[in-house]
Amino acid sequence: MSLFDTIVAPITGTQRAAVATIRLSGPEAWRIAQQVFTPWPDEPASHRCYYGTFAHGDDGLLTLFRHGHSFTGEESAELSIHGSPVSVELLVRACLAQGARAAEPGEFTRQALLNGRVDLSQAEAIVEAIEARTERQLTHASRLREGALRREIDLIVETVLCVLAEIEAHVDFSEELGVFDRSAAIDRLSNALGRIQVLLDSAPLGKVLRDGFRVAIIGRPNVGKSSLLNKILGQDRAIVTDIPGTTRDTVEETIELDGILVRFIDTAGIRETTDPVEQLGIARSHQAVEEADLVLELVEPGQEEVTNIQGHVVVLNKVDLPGPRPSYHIAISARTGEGIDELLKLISDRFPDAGSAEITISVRHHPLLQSAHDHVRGAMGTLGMAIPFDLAVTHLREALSSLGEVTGATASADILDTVFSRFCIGK
Amino acid sequence: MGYEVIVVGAGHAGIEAALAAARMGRKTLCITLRLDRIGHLPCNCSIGGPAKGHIAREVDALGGQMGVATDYTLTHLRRVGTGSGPAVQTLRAHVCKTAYPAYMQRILETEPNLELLEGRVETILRKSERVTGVVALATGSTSPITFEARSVVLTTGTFLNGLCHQGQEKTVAARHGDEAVSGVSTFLNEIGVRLRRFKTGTTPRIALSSVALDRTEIQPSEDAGPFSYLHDHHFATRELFPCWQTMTTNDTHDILRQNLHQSAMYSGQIEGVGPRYCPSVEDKIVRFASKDSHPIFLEKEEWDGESVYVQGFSTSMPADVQLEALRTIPGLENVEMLRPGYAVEYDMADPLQLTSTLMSKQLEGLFLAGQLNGTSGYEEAAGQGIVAGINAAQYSISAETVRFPRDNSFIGVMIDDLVTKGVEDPYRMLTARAEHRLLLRNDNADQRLTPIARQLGTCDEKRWVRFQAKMDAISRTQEHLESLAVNNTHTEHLDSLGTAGVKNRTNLFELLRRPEVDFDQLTSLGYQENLGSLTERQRFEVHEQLKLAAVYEGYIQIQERQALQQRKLDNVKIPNGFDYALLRGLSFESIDKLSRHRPENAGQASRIPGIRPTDVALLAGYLQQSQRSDSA
Repeated sequence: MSLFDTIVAPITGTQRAAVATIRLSGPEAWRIAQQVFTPWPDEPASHRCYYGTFAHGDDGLLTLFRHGHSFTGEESAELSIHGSPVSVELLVRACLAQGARAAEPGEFTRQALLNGRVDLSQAEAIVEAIEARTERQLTHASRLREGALRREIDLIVETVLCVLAEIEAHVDFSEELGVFDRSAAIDRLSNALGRIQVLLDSAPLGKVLRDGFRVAIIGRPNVGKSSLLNKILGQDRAIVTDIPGTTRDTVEETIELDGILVRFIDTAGIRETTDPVEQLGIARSHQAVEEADLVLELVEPGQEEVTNIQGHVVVLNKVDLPGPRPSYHIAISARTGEGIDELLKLISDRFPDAGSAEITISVRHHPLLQSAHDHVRGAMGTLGMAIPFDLAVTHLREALSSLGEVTGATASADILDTVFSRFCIGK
Repeated sequence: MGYEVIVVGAGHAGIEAALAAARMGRKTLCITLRLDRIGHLPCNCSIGGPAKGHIAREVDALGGQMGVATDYTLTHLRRVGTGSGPAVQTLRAHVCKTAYPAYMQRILETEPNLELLEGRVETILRKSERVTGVVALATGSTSPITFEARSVVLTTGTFLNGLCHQGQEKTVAARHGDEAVSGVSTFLNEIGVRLRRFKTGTTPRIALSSVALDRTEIQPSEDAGPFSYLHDHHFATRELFPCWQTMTTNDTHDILRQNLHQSAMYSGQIEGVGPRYCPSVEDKIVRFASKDSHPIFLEKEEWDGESVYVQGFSTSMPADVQLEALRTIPGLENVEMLRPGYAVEYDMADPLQLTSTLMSKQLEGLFLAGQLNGTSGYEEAAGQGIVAGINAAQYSISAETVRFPRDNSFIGVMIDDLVTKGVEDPYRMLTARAEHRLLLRNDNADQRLTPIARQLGTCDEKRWVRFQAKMDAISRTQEHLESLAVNNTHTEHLDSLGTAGVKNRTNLFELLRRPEVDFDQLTSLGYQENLGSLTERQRFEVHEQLKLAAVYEGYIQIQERQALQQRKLDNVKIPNGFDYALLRGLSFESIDKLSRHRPENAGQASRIPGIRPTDVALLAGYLQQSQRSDSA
């Protein structure tokens, strides 16, 4: 018996490639595979590969996995075809027509989790590993898989629990235990608070490590934004992807720098305009600037106006051209490549510091640890005031519950939804 | 003869069960061994105390009798937990050990729909998987009678295979002067109820005239308000007694230590497990060997009479050792012992085999309540009794049974603990067991439970009218306070009231959040008390509720959010007969435990010791997914 529908989705990337693979998982996986693949073997066997033709006309390989012996734990079939996005789309549609349902993001891993193939922390580390695009990200993901964060949280939990237990004991057995020592409890909690703070301090690096460091390039039209981008990409560096902007006006390019993904956003030139399309592009540029970890403002000789916004790095391009120089931080030439290495060094210097934390926390962990922090501090405040000491347990329980949600030690009905919301389609 | 509900036993659980069923209109029979022992107080004559007081108030708010009886028969009253927050504070009373049972007997005898039978239940009857009645032998008769019923509530206390110990002496008895019962144990065994041996004990009783009271510390009674929400005050017609505090000495401990081999507990005579939180004095000197003194409280047991209970000195030593040890306690140098303490061993039924309605998972229509379920204490018994009575009544007419969630009452916490964690030793209620206890205060039990009682029929018109008047007054007063405000022009005025000025417009309810602000001060700022015909006591309650709501609002909100979070898991129901082996991700240990405990929802599953949180998340995820596919 299975509670699951049979789900289908590509498990390889969405780009053109030599081969793409589609996975069917669920009680009907083999039946549906039989409808879209020919010739169906007389005695289909698990962990066997069959060559044949798929419903959309392409030929390829079919691999079968029986119930309990697949990644998801469900009966599965993996359909490998030539990797054109159209071909993938057609075959997925053929499977849907046979009764499969399109997989939700993370649903394969969710099936694996519910079938006990992986546990919650592994599932979360899987997300990180799947999303890892640099060696540093992978190392970090495996450190998480080994439980580095959990061990640190466990230490904090132990301290908080200790104070909580002492308060609770004094509530029922005050005659035997005497007066509750508020200042000793505050001391212990401040230790826990310090440890939580260290984790919180790792959040900026954690975010950059996971989501990349966003650099917005702004400047007047023709100041050389695109040339600069091309120069950076062309300099024999690992180009990780090239994601075309969703409008014609912003282009995002990613490189790896010291193990961090740096996303350069080439914005539309910002200027007064009445053209509605261009206005839209400019609005996006403003948004890119707002979300950026660093803004490079490109200027050129002869230019008089510089926005001079606090925090912007003013980059003088076309340093090889004559003309009066506006004030700038660094000078380059996108044409000759002069100053580019210095510019990259300047960018990597702006990466957030690891602080004293060995591991970094993720976007999911951040609000939970912030809540733990606030409530430990709340408990310390309660104990420091002339109000009944046992009220502090309200805060301590809340802190424990948040800490537990980081590691999965707090059982909650929607923890699975929270973890799986980060998955991209089909993983 | 046919009834809708039969209650076996008339101790503190039986009384509340029988009254609840009868008040809900069910034709009810209560069978007890001795009518003169209805509501008997075999251990100390105290009602209330930390957490126990909360339960007593909850029983009262549900329309039960314990609080009312206490107000009529108390001899001593104190507030407890005053050093802690509002969640911990409650009352402790001593009641007269002759007046309390007499009062209860009168109430049961005059209750419409309720019949009493003095006799012994020989066995319980069933047809297929349902209870159908009991067979009982009336006192003085030799021919058993069959009584049919749709629900049966067992509240047999320490009577099942009771065995009393005093040193090496053993007597087959449930307590001093009462015979034990074995037929019901045999029946429970037959239907697969797991029985275990528990032990409890009581202290020697001494004569007040032989105590040198001037060598003890006197604890006077306090004016602490009534126990019942129905009353404006208690009804003691004489001046309340104090109680007297003294302590054990090194000499006491030496004597007990030298005679440990004679203690029934330590010589291996008793197999049963004793209460961890109410240990015998010999237990205390062994477990807390480093303490050279333990507190002793002397509690007078009756209005008229000499008998004094020696709280803190529960023991199963031989009588001569008890006397020798007592005489080493300051004030008791020449004490006269009226009756030695003793321990009793009895059969308890594993509460893991109960649902949260207190119905047996082994037999439909059979409810178990009180000490039989492994608890200790009158209040714990009464709390289960009223729940079992309500549900037996509902079950008997095929109406929906009622569950009491953890965030709604101490009673709910207790039942949830019993049916999810089970008991290793006699379960005593502790304040710390309730994680949402700021919501479960002694002062708001009526707001939590009286509306439920009204719906079920255990709350009579008088209680309901009084409750509504109070609730109306609270909301009216809060609106009034919120309609009045101070601003920065009031600084001088506020200064003169001993509180700081405000920068922005602040209404008077917000001002009440400041611990130093009370209603008298608000009067000078325009507050006009408009509590109509409310009594002095009710006015106090209205002001108390508003003050608490204002001062502790932040903490209360956090606990409300936590409770809501917990309810999410409680709302994920586990189908009857769910096959955990289907969930291949569960650990073998969890599958085994869950299959044995058969929790009713994922919340209960999460509170079973040893179940991994990830297993709970898995279970909840699986059930939610299956619920989604069911509804799709």
